[in-house]
Amino acid sequence: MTKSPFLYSSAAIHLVVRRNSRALLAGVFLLGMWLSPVLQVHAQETEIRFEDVTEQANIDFIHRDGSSGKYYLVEAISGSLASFDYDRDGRVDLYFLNGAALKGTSYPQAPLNQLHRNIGNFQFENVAEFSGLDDDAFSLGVSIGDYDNDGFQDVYVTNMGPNVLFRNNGDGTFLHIEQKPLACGEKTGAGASMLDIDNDGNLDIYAASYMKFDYAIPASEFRGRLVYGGPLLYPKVQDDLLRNDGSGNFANISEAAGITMEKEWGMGTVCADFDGDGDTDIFVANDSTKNFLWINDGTGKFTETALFAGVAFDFQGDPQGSMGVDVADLNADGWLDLFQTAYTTQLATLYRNDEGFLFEDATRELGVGKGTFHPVNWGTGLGDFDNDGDKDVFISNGHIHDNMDDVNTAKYKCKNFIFENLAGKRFIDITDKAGNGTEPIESSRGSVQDDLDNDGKLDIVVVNSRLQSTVMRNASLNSNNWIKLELIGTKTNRSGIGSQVTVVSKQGSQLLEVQSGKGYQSHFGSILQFGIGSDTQVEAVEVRWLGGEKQVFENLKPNTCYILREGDQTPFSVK
Amino acid sequence: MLARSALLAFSLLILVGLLGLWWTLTKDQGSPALPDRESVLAANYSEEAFRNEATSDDLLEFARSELFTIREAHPSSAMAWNALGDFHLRTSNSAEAEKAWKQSLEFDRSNVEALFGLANIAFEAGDYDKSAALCESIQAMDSHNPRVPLLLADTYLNQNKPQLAALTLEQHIASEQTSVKALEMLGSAHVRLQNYDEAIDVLQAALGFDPNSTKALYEIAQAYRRKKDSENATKYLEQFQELSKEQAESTSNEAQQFVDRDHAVSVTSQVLADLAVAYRVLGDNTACEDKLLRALKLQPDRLAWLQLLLTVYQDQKKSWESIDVLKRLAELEPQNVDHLLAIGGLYSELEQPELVVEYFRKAINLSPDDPRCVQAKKIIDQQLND
Repeated sequence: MTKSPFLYSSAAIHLVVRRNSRALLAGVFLLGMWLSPVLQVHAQETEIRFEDVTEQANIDFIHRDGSSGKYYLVEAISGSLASFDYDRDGRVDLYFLNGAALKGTSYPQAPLNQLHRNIGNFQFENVAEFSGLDDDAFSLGVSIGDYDNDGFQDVYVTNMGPNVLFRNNGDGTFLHIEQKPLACGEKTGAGASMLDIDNDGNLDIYAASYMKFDYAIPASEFRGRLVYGGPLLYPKVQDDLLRNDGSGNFANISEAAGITMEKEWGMGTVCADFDGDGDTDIFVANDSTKNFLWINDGTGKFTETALFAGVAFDFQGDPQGSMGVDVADLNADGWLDLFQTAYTTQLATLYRNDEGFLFEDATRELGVGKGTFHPVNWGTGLGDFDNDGDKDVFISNGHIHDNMDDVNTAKYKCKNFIFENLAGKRFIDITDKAGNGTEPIESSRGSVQDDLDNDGKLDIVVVNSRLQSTVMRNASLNSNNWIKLELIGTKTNRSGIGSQVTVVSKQGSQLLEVQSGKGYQSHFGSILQFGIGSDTQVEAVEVRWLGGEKQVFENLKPNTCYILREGDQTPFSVK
Repeated sequence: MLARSALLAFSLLILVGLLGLWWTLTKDQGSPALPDRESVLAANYSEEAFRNEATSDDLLEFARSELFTIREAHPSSAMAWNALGDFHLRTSNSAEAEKAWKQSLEFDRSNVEALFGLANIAFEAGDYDKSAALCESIQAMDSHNPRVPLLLADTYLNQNKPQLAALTLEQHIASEQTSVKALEMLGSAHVRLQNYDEAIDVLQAALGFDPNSTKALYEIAQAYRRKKDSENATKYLEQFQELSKEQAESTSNEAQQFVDRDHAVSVTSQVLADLAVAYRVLGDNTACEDKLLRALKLQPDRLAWLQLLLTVYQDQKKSWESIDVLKRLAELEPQNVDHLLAIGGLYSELEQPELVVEYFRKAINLSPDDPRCVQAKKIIDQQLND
């Protein structure tokens, strides 16, 4: 979270203005032009619409960060969630992570993590207590996947303190799995992702860590006010890689896997096959320093390559306060691109994947960082909000400092952004034209996007620091077609994590990979969603299961959700 | 403009000095006694902002009060509003900065500074079309403005117009306004245009100016990566990595502590310097001098401000004060012979032959081949031989 000096600062000497008649004429012309609508950019019309349905959703989760005016940094970074169908009723549910009381804070009731069951029609019921997911730890990151291959999604949560794995019992309840390696010590956790590092069919876990928190490290002071100090004041700690042996036991293999070669202040994580070699690699967005790109050799041994791949820093080699991250093929070239959010005075960054060999910071070229310079960006998700066949971008924003609005351009509470992808050629900010979904102005953190009402359109939920979350129903104004796909691995891991799907329709091919743990220390998108525009037929769906085995499905109907089982050529459609 | 004024002032001083040297050495009269005085730069100020223990709030409050004073006295001074806008932008308050600059334009519609400030705000807000239009209009008024091409080129890069960015930067550099930043940006534009060899050449030039430019090293590596020259890409990335690490270690703690006193010092002194220029335009040299001296109290090493102060003193024929400033300039730029020659010239005006010879000798020792020093040496040698 480095502070950047503002650009092009003036020197007093250049204030002397040379006046002449030409200048005067030009000035008069310019002022008129500047005040006229000529310069107002007419944002392109968009069909993307989001409707604020927070009230209807009736989610009583209130985020608590443990703050008491002491400005412990861990307060500022909390606020993540997961969307997944925990009870396999066909509706995507929501799991909110909460903070906890810190030194000097007291709550009448301990803040708890909350599971909210989707009961349809954008209504949810709080089932946290029954489910056993109502943990009272200071939780920071979450990852979802079926680690025991029993058909029900399990939950791994990173905390300030020991991390926790909850096994889904399949009856609406979860069991806390107590194993020392899963806890990862007493770190302040960050993003986590499940992945199968060696394609043995068992999901392993990468758990990033932010720092070693210490109450003794005082808050910083800015203009006579207490404010959060940056992460570099705290010792950085090692991320952890936990290997699942298939019998339900995990071992910490960080050192053997090579990931102890580096440590930084970790935040969001995402795993994908960036180099197209059939195994799963790991990207870690690190705060105020270089990012990690751990490239897998296929056996679960990793080499850090971010600098040479071009994703360690932004376009000019500056480290960013990297926060959230997501992956998608944004330009339909068959390679997965990376998009990450960043701190204030930095642009959110799009790293375009050039055939797996190198990434290029294409933020400025594609316009996807526009307007992100001032706000602190956190959550992000790449999804086809208007089902037109390309992935759009959502970014949630909010400053960490709650007491600087009078002296800061970047505000504590600010609007979230939606960028529409124009066929991979350019992105435009359509936030103000996309309905009232982005009208709630809060200090947002993590976000998820999934189809909450099964209408084939991606909805969005955003955690707001110290407040109720915002629920945004996708009410986009078109009848574009879509297809949703859920993978079930039989030889590979049952969640299909790490498998890639290419959907081919008349307008072209689209690629997505099943992932666990992404965005700002959140999880979403277990079911893959593809928009196909006005195409009325899905010509082919190719699944490249983790490890490389391919399976092709043909003549799938649009506007349908299918379950595709590894080795089974009969797709199963879900109502 | 300041550079030209200062150059002119130096030239005149030196010319006067050489004539004075001849006259001083040939004159058979006693020198006036040296006055018992302290340098004007040693003045102390009683406000809280100038105490060693002044907080950032003390400093910024002082800046605000100075801005308030000038606006009360000169409410229609566009430059006063500009200074306020600059203050707000430097203290991260774009909304207030925008208001101030718009107010400034009410009083002076051809006000380049305000328009540039608004272009900067538009750029930061991501409104690149507006930023570009404002920059292009400023260029129509003031084609030599050194800051506009950089902002305009950056705006073009964000509009995905690297060709225009490169053209803007090339013209800027060709007009002898080369800067490391301009070269770094031109390199970046060439990388975007896939002109990798040109990019490498330009970025190497940037490194020639500033071997610590991590941006140039990083961009060179990017150019080599795209040329599939992994050996050179690796070489430059390693250099970049090493240098970045050193730089990060030296600044990380301060940055993370949000230690803002240094920033407040910088902002307040800049406000004072901005106000000095405004007062000078308003014809109030006393206030101009006062603000510059205070600005220099906070940031004693700012060459541009010293040069402006020198010009102010020269205009007022304040030779002793001019010498104070020149001596400071000579400390800061020990290889610049102009300062020594100018001091000699001023001592000549003040009829101090020993000091004239002392400073001309220093100049001769520093730059024996400089034609002015050669001339001075001739005069001194001739007089000593006579």
